Amino acid sequence: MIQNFFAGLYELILGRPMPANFTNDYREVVFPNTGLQLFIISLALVVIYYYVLNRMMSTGFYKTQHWVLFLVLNAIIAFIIPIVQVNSNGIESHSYTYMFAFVNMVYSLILFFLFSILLKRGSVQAWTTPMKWPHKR
Amino acid sequence: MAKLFVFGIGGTGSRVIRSLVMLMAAGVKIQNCDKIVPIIIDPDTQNGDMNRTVELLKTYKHLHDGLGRREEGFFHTDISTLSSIAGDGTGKIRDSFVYDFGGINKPFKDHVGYNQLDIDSQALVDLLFTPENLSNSLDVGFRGSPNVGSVVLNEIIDSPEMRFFASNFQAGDRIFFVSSIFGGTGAAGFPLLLKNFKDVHTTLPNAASLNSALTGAMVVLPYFSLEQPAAGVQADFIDSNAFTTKAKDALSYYQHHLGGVNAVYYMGDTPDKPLENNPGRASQKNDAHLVELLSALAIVDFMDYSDNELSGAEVYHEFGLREDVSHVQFSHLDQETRDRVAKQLIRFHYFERYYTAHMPDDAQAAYAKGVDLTSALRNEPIFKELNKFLTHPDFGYQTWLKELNRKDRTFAALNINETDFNRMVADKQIETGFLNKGIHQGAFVKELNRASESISDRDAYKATIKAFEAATEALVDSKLKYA
Amino acid sequence: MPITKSVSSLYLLLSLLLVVSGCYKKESSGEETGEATATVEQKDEPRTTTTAPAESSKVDVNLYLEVSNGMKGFMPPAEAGRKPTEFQSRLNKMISEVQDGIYVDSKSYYLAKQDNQGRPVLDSVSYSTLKSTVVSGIKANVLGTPLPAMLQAALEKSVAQNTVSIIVSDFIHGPDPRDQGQFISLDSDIRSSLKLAEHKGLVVAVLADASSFYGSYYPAVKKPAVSKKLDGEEIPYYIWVIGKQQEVQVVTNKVLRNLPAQQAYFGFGYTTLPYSAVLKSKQFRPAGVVYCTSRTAETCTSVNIQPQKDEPVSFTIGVDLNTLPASMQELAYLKRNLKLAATGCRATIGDISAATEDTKAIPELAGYTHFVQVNVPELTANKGTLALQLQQVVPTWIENWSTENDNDPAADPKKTYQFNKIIDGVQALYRDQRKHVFSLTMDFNKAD
Repeated sequence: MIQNFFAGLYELILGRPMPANFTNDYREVVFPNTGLQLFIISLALVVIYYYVLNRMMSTGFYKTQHWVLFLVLNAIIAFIIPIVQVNSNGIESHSYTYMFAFVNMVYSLILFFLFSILLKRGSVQAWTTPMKWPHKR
Repeated sequence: MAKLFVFGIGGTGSRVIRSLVMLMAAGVKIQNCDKIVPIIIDPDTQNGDMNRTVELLKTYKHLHDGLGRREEGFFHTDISTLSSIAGDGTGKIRDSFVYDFGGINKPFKDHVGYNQLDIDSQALVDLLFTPENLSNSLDVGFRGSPNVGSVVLNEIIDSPEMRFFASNFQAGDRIFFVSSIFGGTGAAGFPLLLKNFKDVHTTLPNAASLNSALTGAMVVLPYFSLEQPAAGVQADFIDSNAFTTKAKDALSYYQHHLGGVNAVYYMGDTPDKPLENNPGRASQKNDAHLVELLSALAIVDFMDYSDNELSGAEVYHEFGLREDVSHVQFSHLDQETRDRVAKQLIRFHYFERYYTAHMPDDAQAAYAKGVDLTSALRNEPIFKELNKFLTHPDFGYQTWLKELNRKDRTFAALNINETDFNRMVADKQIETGFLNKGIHQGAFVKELNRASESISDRDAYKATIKAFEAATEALVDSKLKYA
Repeated sequence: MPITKSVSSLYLLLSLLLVVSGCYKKESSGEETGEATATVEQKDEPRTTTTAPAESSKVDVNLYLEVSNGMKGFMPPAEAGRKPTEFQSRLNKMISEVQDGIYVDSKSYYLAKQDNQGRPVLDSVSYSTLKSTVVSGIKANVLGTPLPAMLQAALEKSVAQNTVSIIVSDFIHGPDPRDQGQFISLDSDIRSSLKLAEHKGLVVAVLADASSFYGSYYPAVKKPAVSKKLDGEEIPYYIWVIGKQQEVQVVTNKVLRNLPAQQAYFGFGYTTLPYSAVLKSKQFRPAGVVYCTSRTAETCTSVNIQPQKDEPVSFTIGVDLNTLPASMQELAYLKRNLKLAATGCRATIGDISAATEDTKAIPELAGYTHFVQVNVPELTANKGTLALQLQQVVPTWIENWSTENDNDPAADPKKTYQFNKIIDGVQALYRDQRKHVFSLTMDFNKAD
């Protein structure tokens, strides 16, 4: 089910995997692995940002620019994951691979933002980062 | 609950009230009352000291009202004008902290109707008053002439303001006088008002309550001197050489004729360099002085006593420092005094320093962003008031603190030009090291954010003040470890 | 309080993720490690051919050498200055291999004759007798060869002894002069004589060669001459191997060796040839949307495809034809006879190539001897099959080696009277049983 979910998620934008002969490697291994890793890493970074750096430790990284830094870090990781996944599963590189990496990166931005919105209220120092919405106080 | 009426008489009264306002702004607790009603009595309507005290009071009132009623914290003590204490709003008097003399701008001679007197009476008047006394206009005050003051001020007892005061006086309310003993208005006004309030035959309403009201007085002995005018200049000035003589006479009078005061506080100092001699009007705007700050503490002390403690025989207080030093720090104050004010003043100072120097950079910090502080700072009038209170060049906190540092004997507990929080308190510095940076902007933001977590107010002003209260308290406790 | 709530749900989420994250490793250990198996045409499949390892096991052999007068010319007595005939050379090698080679377990040798009533007689002889017969010629006078009867007799004996029959003869039908009608019914007679092979599930390999012939030649067609004296003209002779498929293969591949070019196999069928779609090799890069249905299968026998208008599907199927008779492994033969039967799509066979050193070096490809490209330009159903089938075909040389008049071998060499009819008879045995030597079915689904 998770396989279908992630395959659907990526193919929605990317279309059928290419080269086509690696379709099920993508669908059964690469997509779900990438998706899960994206999910876990994004969540982990959000948690680190809001709960470790800005709750437990109260470092000064509460500004939007720091949040953006983490967002970008997450995006870079999200770009690398698919390429590593594709290579480690013996799949031929293709322009599709990089499109995939790019889409994953875009997803990482969305996911990081979403997690931020969901979890930021638990942070003492940064619950208004990147913005106050949707919390009132 | 009970009110405290503070009569600030003359220039000294205004200046002591100014320091009192600063103490209250810092959150120094005034016990046994929930409202302070300052009444400044000074016929010199242009008096610079008075006017900036009035501005300060108005600003304070805005800031207090913005925060609402609280038990502690910055600006928590309620200050009201006389007219506003009447719940029904029937007061027909001006809404002001200042007693309204109704513009007496004629010479004393005309005021007493000298020219209409018969010759014998004129001779008596001539005996009591100098020609200068008689020809001086009254709107500049009594210029260190209690003999003039006592005549003029006697009239105010029958004024609508005084009747309004008396009719709103309730059992349990207290009265405190602040006056100098060496000036004109104060020296004359204090015994006069006291006599009227305590007179069992007084025509004022609520006579019984007034008669039995717990009353305190701060009598400021000479602590400054004035420059002698250059030779040849017309002698239109106050002669400070007469201060000591007048003080002695007054004390002698108080000794025998002053009744009904429960506690009298005396305060004085050896004069340092002479002040510019500006008798009255706007130019009489003297720098704040340590003596005034300490005098204001008398009010705090007075209110610390319970009704029972004050009901006994009259008590007399004098103030003394632990050491005769020219730069007074918190450690030179008595432990009791220190406990009352030191922490509060340090916290307020931290607040002021951070608020003016660093807060503009904190637009993104949670405590600020959470209440849209940046736009509030721009748009909400209350923040303009706060800025005024802290930084106004005339009456602001910064100015006040600077003035306290200008004298020979200075209030040097807080290093005014220090930008490093770790070295702001003169008698206690924060040790810093590689890992411990003490109090710096980051630590401050952290505490502000943490503090704002538990603040539910959405109002930017309230939330910000409360955040600063909590943050400064945490910083003083955990970093400065001031005890 | 909302904070603690969100924190606890966060922990829940995290632990859930940790549980889930262990999944989806690429599984290299195949779940379906077994060799792909061609779909067996089960319903009429009485023969149970066992698999490859048996090929190297030993076989029992009955060798029948026809010794009628017509065979004498192949085995002239040794004579100085004359080389042995090709027949003698081949026979010598063959019998010595049978006698001494490691692939033959027990062996019996028979000389096939006929008695006066025209009935076949099989004389059991020793190896030395047989050898001297081949080398020194046939002494006895045997008039003719009633071919169907002789085949039947030999087959019955072999079946009884459970051995492989090797029958060496010129296959010139010489029926009893009293029964010339046999010429008319030669095909059905052959079929009848071999019905035992059909029943027992045996296969027939026919090898044909020609040899110099010295002496009297007795054609089937007696006009204009009843016999002819030949001196070195080439006359065809045949070696028939009948037995179980894998035993026949042992004989043809290991015992006989150096098979003549003319070969024909009847009844051969392979149900278990390794094959797989080759989808991820650089040598055989597929085109269009095609991928293996199962990601983990070692061999891929089911693919998902979806040809587009501008992008037809093309992919390669690797097959291992190593166990097939050599002639069937020839590229030209395969190109001629390999057919693609498709259901649910239009499909054609593209290029066929044999394994090269390159492909043998790649582990995934090393197991396959041939690579068949399949083009699928269009699907007509959402699922279906692609079956690679090797037809049972009669080799063309059979027609070339057949004649209606064998009276003048010098003018029309290497021809046997009505040999095609004989083969028709053999073929008739298997006609209904097995259309294909093998049929390798590749399932497909429309890719989603």
